[in-house]
Amino acid sequence: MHHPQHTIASLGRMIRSGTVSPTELTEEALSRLETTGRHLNAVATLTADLARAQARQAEEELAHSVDRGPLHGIPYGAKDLLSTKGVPTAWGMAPFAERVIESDARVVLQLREAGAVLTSKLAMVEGAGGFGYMQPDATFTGPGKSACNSDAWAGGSSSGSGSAVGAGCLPFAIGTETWGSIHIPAAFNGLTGFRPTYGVVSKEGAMALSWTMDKIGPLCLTAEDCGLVMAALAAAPEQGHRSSMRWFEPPTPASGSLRFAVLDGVEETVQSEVAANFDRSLRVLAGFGTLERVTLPAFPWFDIARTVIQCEGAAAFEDFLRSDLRHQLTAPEDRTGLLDGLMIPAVDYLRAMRIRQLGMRAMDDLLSRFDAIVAPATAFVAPPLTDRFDQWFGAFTGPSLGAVGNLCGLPSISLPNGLGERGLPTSLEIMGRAWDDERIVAIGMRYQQEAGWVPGRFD
Amino acid sequence: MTKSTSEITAQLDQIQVQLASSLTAQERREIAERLAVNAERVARLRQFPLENGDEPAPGFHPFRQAGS
Repeated sequence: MHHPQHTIASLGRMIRSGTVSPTELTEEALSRLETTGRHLNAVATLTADLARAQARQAEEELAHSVDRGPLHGIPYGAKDLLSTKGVPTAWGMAPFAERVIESDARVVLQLREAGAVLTSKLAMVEGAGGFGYMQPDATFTGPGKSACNSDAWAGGSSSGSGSAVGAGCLPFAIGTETWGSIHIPAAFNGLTGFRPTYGVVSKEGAMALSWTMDKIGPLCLTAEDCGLVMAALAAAPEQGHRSSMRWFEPPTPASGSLRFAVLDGVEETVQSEVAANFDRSLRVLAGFGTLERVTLPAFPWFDIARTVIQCEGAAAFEDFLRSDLRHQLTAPEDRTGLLDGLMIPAVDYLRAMRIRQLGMRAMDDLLSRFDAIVAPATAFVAPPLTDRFDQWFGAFTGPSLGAVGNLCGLPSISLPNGLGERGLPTSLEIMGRAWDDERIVAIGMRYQQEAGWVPGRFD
Repeated sequence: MTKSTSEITAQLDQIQVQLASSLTAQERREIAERLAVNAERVARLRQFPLENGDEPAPGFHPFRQAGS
């Protein structure tokens, strides 16, 4: 039995038709994680005993017509910054490799309630990249390797979430994004990734890097699957839940003619194949909507984002920074990371936040005229595992949706849209107004429907 | 606006006080580079015109509500 490129939706149908059982799927996932997942440095901890127990429970419940919904009996992995009772939660940081936090993160509880089977804690960049890593070898589990080419980087910081799903070890995984950490691994592993509106998914029990920018979301094979996972994550119980959203139904593909803003000038500052595939994506979008070139409101988005993350990260990790534990981090450059954030005056942090507020208003005004704005999700394909980032992130500094989208907390989906340099996947980003999460997933579904997207086939 | 060497040295000394331990020469060099970058970034932000009534962004999106 082999189900590496089956979506959540199709696996759910197979479970209910008796073609496959949750236990069989779970054993298959554990086996692939142990082999392929380990090879890709995607795994922090396998939760085999827990997974087998949850799979058995799902099987028994379904046999007795207790159906918890689309995720019932489906194996998944959680980024290792989500706490899990009885299982190490290391945040990718060597000093915490054996640490156990004796409570479950809210999203882990929500997924358990939905019947999903936790198979693994997935590897990630140490401290979610907040210490300023400059190369892939920045976690004690080893550099994350792309599922598409193990000589290429899996992206970060949700490296294992990307490569484990991309390699067919799991049908979905949970990642987090402060600035790019869902979309980059989704893009580098040929996946669909969804970053919700800030506040839609509870962060309770998740490592904090930036309290005002951290978001939790799924990495899946399709937009439809992202919708199925989001329906479980957004439908949170009220008690102790800091999210303000209590609605999200699995959407159907968006209908009718839509209005797309296209970020102007992006084609000139990305790899040529990325530009060509973006142009092809625009032709698909033009088949069910109008396109209008726009520029972002003139705000120092990058400077605001860096200042906010430096200050909030330094505050979140203040005790760690003052300890000797920082010397045990994997990437040499991370061992002095964030210390500079201690020196940014509160007045300057607040200035960044005041400008941010004005920027959010301006961005909302722009997006109010459209259903979504589109751009390449990344300017380049997964870089070689041995390269330093200044060759890549430093070389492609054109307009993008990354800083603005994360600062404004806007929902966004990244979708594979072809192959680029070295045969590696490229990706399209579709971003909307705050709280339009359902609509953005629906637009992603429509795009994949119109483009004839088949998971694992990028041509 | 570039931060002066003396300002960066003073900040490095402050970091050492906060850490209650000494930084190596290599660590001081690395942090100094970042302090200089931060200073340039903050200087650019200080050029942005703000009015007294411009408030900081809250945690949640201020202009739209769930379901709107």
